[in-house]
Amino acid sequence: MDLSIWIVFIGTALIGISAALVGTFTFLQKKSLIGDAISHSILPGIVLAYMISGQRNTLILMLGAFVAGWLATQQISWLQRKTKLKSDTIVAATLSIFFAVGLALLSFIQGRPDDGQAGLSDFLFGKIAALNIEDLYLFTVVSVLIIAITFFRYKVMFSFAFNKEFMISKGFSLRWNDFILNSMTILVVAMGVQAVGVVLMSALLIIPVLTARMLTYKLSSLIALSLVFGTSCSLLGSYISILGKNIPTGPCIIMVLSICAISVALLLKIPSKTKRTR
Amino acid sequence: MNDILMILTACSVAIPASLLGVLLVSKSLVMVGDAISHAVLPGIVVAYLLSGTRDSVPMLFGAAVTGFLTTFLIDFLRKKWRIQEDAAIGFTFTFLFAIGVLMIAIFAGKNSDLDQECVLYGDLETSILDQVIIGEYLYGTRAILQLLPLTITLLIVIVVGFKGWKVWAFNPQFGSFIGIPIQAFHLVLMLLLSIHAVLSFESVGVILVVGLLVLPAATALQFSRTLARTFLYSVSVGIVSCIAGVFLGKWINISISPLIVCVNGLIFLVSVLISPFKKSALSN
Repeated sequence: MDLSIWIVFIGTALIGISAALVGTFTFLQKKSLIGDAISHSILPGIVLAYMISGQRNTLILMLGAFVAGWLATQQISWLQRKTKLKSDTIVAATLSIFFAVGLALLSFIQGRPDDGQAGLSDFLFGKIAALNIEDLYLFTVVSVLIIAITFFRYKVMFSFAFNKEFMISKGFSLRWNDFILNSMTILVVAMGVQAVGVVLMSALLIIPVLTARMLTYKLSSLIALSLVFGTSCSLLGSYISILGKNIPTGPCIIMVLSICAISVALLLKIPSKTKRTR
Repeated sequence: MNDILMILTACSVAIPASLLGVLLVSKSLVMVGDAISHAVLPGIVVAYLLSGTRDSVPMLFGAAVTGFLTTFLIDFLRKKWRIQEDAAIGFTFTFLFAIGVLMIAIFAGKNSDLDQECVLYGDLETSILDQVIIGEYLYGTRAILQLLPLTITLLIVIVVGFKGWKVWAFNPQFGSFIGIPIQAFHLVLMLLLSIHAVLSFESVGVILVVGLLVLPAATALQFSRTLARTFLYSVSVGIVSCIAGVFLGKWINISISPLIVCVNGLIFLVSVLISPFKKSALSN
């Protein structure tokens, strides 16, 4: 195996690990669809960053993605404060506005006579094979950051997920924790879109923890299991997409994840029936 | 002439969308609507592969099947697997959408007229080239003629069952108590939604449909207190943003369907700022 295949595998593993980690906490907050909104919303950020810088540098694109994702979460909380609309309406409205702006910008630069935009539509469905060694360094830094935040704030995030009143009574700020969780989600999404694309990124956050949830109720084993599922399924999915020449990476990873989830559910069916009747 | 045709085509997508959107928003089913508009993709692809054409009859059938499949799957996951609703929705539509994209990548070859990007964006500019001319008269584009019956059906369904929809949206327990088939209302809405998603994907693409569904309705809710007015305002917002979007798109020469949603979004954000109903600090 040559170097580029190793880069792809390590990159996928890093994405899988951080997505599963952050996904666990957004799942516990019942905010899984925020991940969907953020992943659609970063498209204008990516395209604008490309238009301003004129090159396809991963660091710059991720910076643009981060700003756009942050704006989207700000808009969601602004609308929640300002209107009486329900939260699913607000999320869907934000998602569609940002995504439409992104598509409009994309069609604007596709109309221009320059050749560099070719790679940008990869962000819609993801193309892990385009990863290079500098991207990998960046991914490593981001993943280490996310793992470190989770490790050092584990207790706070635990109570943030299950007992907010307790957390407030201990003097921790809700908004600050919200901000940290949102920033982590945005970072993961900005990283992951390179592999699975904006449309399917939310699945990488949701499905591993959903599978793990069927097996356990303990937070520590929930995190461990969703890490195992997320990482192994993304590796397998990207391997399959490299084997077949014309298969986009994102849908491939999602298919493997979904099949894993479905088979876990089917395997659980028989023993769980006896357990519940007790 | 082309401009008028384009506006009409855009409106024929936006009017039923803004009607459906009001129902979705008032029952907070928006994300289910989003899920269905993604999930009709495998239905479209299977119908296309089996029939070999982009003919509408097999596609409608595929859409109806996948639409029901989506609602059924979300319900199944919630009740049998005991998964919380947001995760169930997220799982269902990404799974079905991934199947659709994979099928396009594997089975539909390079030279077929169904590719990933056209499904995502849609293309209003090419969809108006598909004109129906009988004799010497231009009757309209194919999209208009396909969506017109849907719009009329939708109007009839809404007007005839207006009280039923009201009960369905705001007090379903009372409705089933006095014998209104609430579940049937739900299924009819999902059926109409999936048919709309299929008929409009060529013009606006599967993702922007959710913008056309939710934004006019959310704008209308900033100004109206009754369901009937909400329908009216929502349709007007939809039409206005179509017209503005088409002219703006002509002027700066970029793709029109995302622009329509952008204009819609702008109207929505402005309406939030000038809305007469302020959320009071006490209600929190």
